Amino acid sequence: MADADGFDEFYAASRPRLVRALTVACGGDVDVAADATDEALVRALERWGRVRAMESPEAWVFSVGRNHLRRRFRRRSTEKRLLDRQRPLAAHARSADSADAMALWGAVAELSTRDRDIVAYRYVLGLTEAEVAEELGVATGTVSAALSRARRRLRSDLAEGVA
Amino acid sequence: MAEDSTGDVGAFDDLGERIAAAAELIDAPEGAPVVELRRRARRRVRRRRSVQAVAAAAAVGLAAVAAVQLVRPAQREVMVAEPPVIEDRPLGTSPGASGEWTWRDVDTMTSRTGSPAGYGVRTTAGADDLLIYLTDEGVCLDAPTCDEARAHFGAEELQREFVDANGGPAAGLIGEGAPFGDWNVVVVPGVTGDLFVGRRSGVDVPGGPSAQRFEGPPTCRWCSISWPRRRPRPLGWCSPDRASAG
Repeated sequence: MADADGFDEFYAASRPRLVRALTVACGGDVDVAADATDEALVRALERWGRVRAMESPEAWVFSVGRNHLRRRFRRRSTEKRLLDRQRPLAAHARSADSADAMALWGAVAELSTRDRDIVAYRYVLGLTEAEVAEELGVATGTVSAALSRARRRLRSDLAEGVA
Repeated sequence: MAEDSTGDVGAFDDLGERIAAAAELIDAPEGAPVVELRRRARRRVRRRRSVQAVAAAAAVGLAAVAAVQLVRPAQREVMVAEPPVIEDRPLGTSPGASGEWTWRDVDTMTSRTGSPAGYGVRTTAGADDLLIYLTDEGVCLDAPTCDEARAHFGAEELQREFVDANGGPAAGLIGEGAPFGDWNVVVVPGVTGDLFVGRRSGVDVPGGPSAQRFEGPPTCRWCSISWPRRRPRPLGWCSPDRASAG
């Protein structure tokens, strides 16, 4: 079937990255992140004409998915507690460097929800600090400060792990 | 790599790259196919539109109810206010005892033959309810219909057709043991012959009666004699479909 509206192409190109970003943002459950991604993609389809015209449709879908996760977790606090316990993200690493990845995700999982969101926006989706700030509706300096704080925390945690 | 404005350096100054690379290692499970996502999106749009339609209908309904509530107090006030006053006497009171019928002529009411017209009243002690019964009349259009149509109704007719006949044509409503048998009743006979829409005097009906006086509107106006202007008149109060004087 012809991809008349360009959604199929967007889906193929962006879905894996969106799932990864949401996995980071939600603290490690890739299946929950995949569900949230699909839900966000459905919402994007409902208004695809507007979403596709945005500067970063991917960031919009990520934001919708992230909000969906938050709502879901608010409703299911028990599940959230379980998710918190069964972290880290490392379980989903698959390469020979999995030890490094495991350590890194272990550190990321210890970040605050807000800082994980910013890390996902910046390093998984590849948005600039200014774009992240626009998505979150905060000043660019706030994003910079959050990234700095996150990196300090990660550096500290990883250094402890190395030591 | 292009580092953030924080300018972090050191052993982990490539954290951004490492996070990006590690994210690539996350296995993204197969998701629902695009066709399924499109179907879900269409279903959600339909559901949202349905909800919007229901909400709009509910809003219209609420607005209508609110509007009715705004108007209704005035109507209720009229409906339960003192009854229309005819000749300085409240309609519904009668010099007769409870259960007795009384006939009253009304100056402004005229039959098509010019004879006085009026209404009959039955009062019931202790009853607050009032039934207004509009009798059949029959329209006078030509000789055959004028022969059939009633041209006069007075105290004698009331006695014969209603009192002696336990309510007569309305026996099933106001007769003894009937649903409205213990109500106050006003019987308004139809005698104008014109469905209350025409006003013309000295009419000779070809092949039929002559000098007919069709005074429908003035007679019908009696119905709303006490109704203030600009207030809605209750539907059916002067309904011409029964062709009566009420």
